[in-house]
Amino acid sequence: MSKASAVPPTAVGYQAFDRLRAEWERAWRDRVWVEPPHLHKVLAARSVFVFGAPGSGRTMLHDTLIEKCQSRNPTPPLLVDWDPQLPPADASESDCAKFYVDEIFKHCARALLRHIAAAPDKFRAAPDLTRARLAEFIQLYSNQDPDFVDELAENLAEPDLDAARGVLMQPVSSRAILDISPPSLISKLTHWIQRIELERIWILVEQGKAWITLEPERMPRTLGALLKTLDLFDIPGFEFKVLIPAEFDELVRIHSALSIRRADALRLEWSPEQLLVVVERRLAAMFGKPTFTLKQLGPAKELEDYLHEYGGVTPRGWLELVKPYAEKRYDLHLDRALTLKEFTDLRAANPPKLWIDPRTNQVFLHHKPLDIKPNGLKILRYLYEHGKSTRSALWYRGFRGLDREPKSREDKAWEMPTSWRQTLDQNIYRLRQDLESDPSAPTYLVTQPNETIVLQYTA
Amino acid sequence: MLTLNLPSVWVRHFGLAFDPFEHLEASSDRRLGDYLIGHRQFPVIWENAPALVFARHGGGKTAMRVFGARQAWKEKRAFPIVYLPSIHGRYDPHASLSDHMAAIVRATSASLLLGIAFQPEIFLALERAGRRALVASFADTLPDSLEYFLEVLRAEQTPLALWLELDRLFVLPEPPRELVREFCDALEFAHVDVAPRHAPPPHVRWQEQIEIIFDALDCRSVDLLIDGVDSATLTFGNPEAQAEWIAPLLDQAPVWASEKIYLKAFVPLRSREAIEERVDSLEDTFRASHLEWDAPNLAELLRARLSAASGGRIGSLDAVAEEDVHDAETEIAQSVIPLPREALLATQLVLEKYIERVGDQEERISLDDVSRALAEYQDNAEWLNLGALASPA
Repeated sequence: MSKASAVPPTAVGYQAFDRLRAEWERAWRDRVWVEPPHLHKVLAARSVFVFGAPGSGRTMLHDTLIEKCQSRNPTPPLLVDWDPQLPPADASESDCAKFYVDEIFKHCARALLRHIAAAPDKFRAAPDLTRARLAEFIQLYSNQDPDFVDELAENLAEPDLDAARGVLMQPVSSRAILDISPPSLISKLTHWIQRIELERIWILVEQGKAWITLEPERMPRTLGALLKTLDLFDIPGFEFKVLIPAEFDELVRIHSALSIRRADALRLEWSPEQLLVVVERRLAAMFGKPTFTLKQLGPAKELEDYLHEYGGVTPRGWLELVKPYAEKRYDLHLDRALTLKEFTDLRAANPPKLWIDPRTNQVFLHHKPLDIKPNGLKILRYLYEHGKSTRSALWYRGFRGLDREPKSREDKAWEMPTSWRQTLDQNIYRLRQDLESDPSAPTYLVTQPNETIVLQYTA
Repeated sequence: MLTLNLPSVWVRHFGLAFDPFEHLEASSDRRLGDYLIGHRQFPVIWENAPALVFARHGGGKTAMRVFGARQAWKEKRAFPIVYLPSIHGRYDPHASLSDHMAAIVRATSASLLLGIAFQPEIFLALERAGRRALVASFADTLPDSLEYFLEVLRAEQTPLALWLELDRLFVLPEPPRELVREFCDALEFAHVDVAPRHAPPPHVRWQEQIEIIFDALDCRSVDLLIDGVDSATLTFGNPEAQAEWIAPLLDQAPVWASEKIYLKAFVPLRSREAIEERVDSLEDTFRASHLEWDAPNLAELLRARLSAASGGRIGSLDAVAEEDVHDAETEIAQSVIPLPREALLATQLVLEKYIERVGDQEERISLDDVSRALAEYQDNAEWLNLGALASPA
């Protein structure tokens, strides 16, 4: 490339670390994109469930799948982007399965109709009976959804709409697909679409927004039904790509498509080497450089050790930690890396946030899991909920689990302060040993001069 | 092809004709007959008697069914009718024998069409009356119109296209294309030649079909092969529902056997107890077999596939591995849950690790590739709790 044409990339600036959500970063995504782990498995001809924690890159993976599909010629997959709705609350497992089957077919019909509208020539070139079968399938499943037909009319340009209308209005003399079982219908569908130059069908599910709202007792049955439904769809050429939150991973223990290997189960976890690339690409985008190493940001060893210890296995985990250092360097318009002192000062001002996973009661400093003893956990949970506490409240309500503090000696729950204060102090001491990197100069569990205990830097 | 095809890289590296570890599901593997092992240990599949073959998920039931159907037809020992529950439009947990018969009639038509498509010389050798009778038996019993299947066959010029359309019932070596074209012409002519009639009831249809099989096709017996009993949502993981569904067929088996129609069911091991409770005198009627795998068998399975894919040139992964890799197949077989599907998955992982390490550069499988693959396999198996779920209890 000649010097004249080597235009340096523009700096993304603060946006680079602003939201750390893929949906907000699409305009400059290419500059920070790093191939997600297991991408080759997700793109393989198998159904797959990818479990990813928040910030692990599920949305990025979803977008990558769509882009890969759209960029392939001449035989792309038919991508069916499906946001599963919830079946009725009182639905039995088999009703749930039927609900999902109908939903899947409806979305396949929609995707097919859109595709035919966009590429009518390929449809017209298919054998007569194949076209008839496809039209029958689309009519059957889109006629069940009149809103979709209206939506299509609003969103398609006229020539494309003509092609779509042609399919919807095509006389269907056979009722060949009405009596076919779902697995047989899917099998045929995968062959029919090959005759209009589509390679296979991918049902892409990201997150399943409705699933997040599921009450815990409904989730296993509803999602378990989906997994069992997948067993019906174990047809080559028809695959599910399901990207769901890691907290649903108890599903993997249900006897289902996953346990009999009809679908693969993967955890979206990044290696430190991959995460370093994520960070450095993000920094390069922020500063408008073709490349940017961690060494250019600050003391590399200290930074890397810090990221390794607290960053966890997700891109967002690492990027959140790097953010204050990146922004500081950007603020100061430095043309050098942060010094060790600058790094240390910033680190003291921005310690990793403490949080407690409500499902598991696991305590984390950012993404570093801590091993907190049970008594310490009681104290910590109380302070996490209330922010700060008197010693008395901490003892009776946090440690003892009472609803209120005893008002007087006559209260049955009242204890001699001389005994519980010592016990409390011992437990606070032990908790600091588990929690603080320097228990003698605590960051998180601080005792104020008025003896109030404060828990700081919580997420 | 869109799909990132890692296997295509190592298939090329090792000079293989195809990926021998691709198909985890036997019914989608058209080459299965080239490398299936273990069948000789299960004579129940070849004998002229009703049989029950029990196995765990991923334990080779469908492979045995597919292979059994193929060999029966290829060797002219019996005509295979493959009956899968998916042929029913809707699952009915209380399906009666009549309900089953209506579906078996459709399964028989599909099996007949597939059988003669793979061996068109059999149809072409029939007299006109025989051809007409056969084609007439297809009316209203095929999953789609005969015109549709003819269109598919003419377009693709191979019965593999029908195999895909007909739920992959069984597959045989492909006939020459000119023979396929001749078959299409003859089939179409016979179809035109058939006068329409009112659809007779299933039991009449069944008798007609059996007569065609024994008389026109000159078969000595029929194997009625039942598979996929657990593939409906209500039967999946539900042994009682599976037993309930199949019971009318098992009850009918002795009657069929007297007519040289031998029912052979391939069922999940978990349903064995429920079936034994549900059906009287099971042991008197059926030869029962339990498909079980050990490390040597699984290792042999892997080697047989590699050998088939290399035209006999490569008998083991050791041949394409570094010197410190010894008997990779046995190491894989000993590290997995003892099921063919698990062994295939673990082998896929080894080859994945190899490609991740070498990229497009041709090298040899290392000991580290094997170790990392098996570690990942075991981690994944533990996460999925496969050890507990794979137990027969």
